[in-house]
Amino acid sequence: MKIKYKLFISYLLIVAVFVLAGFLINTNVANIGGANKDVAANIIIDNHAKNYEKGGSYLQTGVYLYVHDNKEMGRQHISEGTELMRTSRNGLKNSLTDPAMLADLAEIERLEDRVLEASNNIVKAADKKESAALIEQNLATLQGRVVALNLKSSVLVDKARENMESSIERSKTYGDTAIKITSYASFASVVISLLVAFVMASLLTKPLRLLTETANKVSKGDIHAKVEVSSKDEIGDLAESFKRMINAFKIMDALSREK
Amino acid sequence: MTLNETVINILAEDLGPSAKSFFARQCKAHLNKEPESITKQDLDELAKWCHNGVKLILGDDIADKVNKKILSLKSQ
Repeated sequence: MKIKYKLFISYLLIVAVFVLAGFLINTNVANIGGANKDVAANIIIDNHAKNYEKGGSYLQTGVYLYVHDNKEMGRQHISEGTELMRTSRNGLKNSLTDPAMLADLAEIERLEDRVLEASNNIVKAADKKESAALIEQNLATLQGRVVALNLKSSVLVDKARENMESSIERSKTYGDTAIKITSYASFASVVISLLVAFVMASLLTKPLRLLTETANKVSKGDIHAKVEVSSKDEIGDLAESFKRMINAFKIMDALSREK
Repeated sequence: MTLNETVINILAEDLGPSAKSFFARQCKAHLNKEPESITKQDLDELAKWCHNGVKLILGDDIADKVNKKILSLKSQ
């Protein structure tokens, strides 16, 4: 094989080692990216669930204000609370993938309907100027439902936090692994590259050294020195030419002795 | 290319620049001919003497190789 091909193959081998190292590092970096995405998704779920709770409280406050002669502000709070719950519900529907959490959300939606139902009943009762006792009783019902809604939402918050913590832990583990793999891969790449370079240098210089030794012997008069180079590259060609030259010396020497 | 040039080329593959002198020596000493005057009829004898000469100086391997190559010229 020609020297240029030997060098090219060594180069490819070294490149392959570095590409493999890069691939290993990249795989771990991709894992870190995946864990970080999970963290971000759980932060979003956590925010939506908290907003759900906030929406319920807004609504409850609005109803209380509405009943206690602050209808304008009460209506505004009711509207904001309803809107906040609606937005959070839609946000959660888009973010959740875990079947257990989706089941929790379905339960929360059911509770939301009941909160809205209680809220509407109170508003209607207040508009009809029903007895204070009935309204207070309905307010207590609303409070109970809002508490139930908040409790269920807090289940989602807790689960989201658990998932977030586990994703952070995973990300940390991947980070540690990535650091280790990067160190090992860099070290291995350097060692393998040095090894390949050393082997290639030896393969190329050994026949040259042998040829030089023979040339030195011949130049000092030892025409029986043997050329022990059998490589198939340009150095092998050079060795063949050199053998031919030594043969010529031997023939000339024999012919001159005959005369 | 004449026959003697072809033989010299064959010998030069292993004997290098000494091929011409070696060939001339074999022709004159053993075939009693000038190198330019050899014919295909001389090839058997020439191959034998070249074989003997090369064998003494360079060994069996090269001698056999030279012998075969010279004999192969008969069929060309």
